Amino acid sequence: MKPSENMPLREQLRAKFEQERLEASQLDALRARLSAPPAPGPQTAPADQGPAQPGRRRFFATAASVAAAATVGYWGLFGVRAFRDTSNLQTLADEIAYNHLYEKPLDVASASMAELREAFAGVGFLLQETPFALPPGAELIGGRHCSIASVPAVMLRYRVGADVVGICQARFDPARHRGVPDMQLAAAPATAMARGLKVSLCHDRGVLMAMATA
Amino acid sequence: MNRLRDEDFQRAYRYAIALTGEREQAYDVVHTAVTQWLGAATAAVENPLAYFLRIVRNTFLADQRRAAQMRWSPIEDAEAVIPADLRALEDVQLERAWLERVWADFTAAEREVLFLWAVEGYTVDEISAQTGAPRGTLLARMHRLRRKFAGDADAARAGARP
Repeated sequence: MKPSENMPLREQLRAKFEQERLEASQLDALRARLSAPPAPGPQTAPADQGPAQPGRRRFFATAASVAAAATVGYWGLFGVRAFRDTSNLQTLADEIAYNHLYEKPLDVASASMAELREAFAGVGFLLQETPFALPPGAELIGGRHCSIASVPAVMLRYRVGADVVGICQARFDPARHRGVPDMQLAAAPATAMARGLKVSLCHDRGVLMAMATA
Repeated sequence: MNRLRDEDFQRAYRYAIALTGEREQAYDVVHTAVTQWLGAATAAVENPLAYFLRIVRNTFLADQRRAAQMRWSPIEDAEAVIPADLRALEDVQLERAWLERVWADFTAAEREVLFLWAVEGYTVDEISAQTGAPRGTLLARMHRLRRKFAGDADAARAGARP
């Protein structure tokens, strides 16, 4: 390569860049872009922020990493456990056993299911005939208000000799009464032991029903 | 932004060439800069060209990861030889072919300084304001560029001899 002509650096650079020009098509494309609406997404880059832009990217990247780690950690601690143990049958059984053992006075004393239905109409569901096999000689004596997993419920009491059997009913809430079998699908109610009692649970026609026996 | 003239786009394009070192990437940078300006919620801009050049620079930095690509030199490197101004480059004489040859070896930071000094006619203080680089760093960089050009000129003379 034979050097052609010595010139000052400034002049050489100016001559070099003078040759660099956008083609007409490129210029038209830029003008067209100007007339188009801004593209959606994180395209904003304020010009007065100078070299801080990579720093902002790092900040958002760090924030995103922390959020992702927190999400993974949360699901690791609680989510997997929740998915693995979706049933809360044992918790429900424990609460029903407590309601049965807690000897609060009856709100309504009656042996008539029709009277009890009328008396407890305010709880938001129709009391059902029990689907469970009651011990021979069980007699309905009345009912009182209670709750199952924060859902208003009615505890019906049956006397069997010296013992008492409790039938708890509530409007069935799939989110709160997880793991309770549907009597339309299941052959038998679920059973759990709690507080020394045997608790059977099922739901039918939108009503949760549970029986607690010694 | 509509106040930008065609010649302003050409200047931005040349600046992008100085930064990127090649034309296609330079056009991409300019196009991205236009898009970013459109997407940014900005108040009235007093100097549209200066604002646009700033976006061009920021776009380049964001794409190239400034820390890895620009390789700013520490001031301590050449404190003892820092000249007072840019006259170190004023008397550099070279052939166009040799400029093209050494141009490809310069870093983006060096190309940017040369472009702003020679083509845009910026002073050291103006380059410092545009790039955010300390004045001493710029002068040290200029001094090293002078030595590079001098070394290449010597090599050119040696190569010209049979």
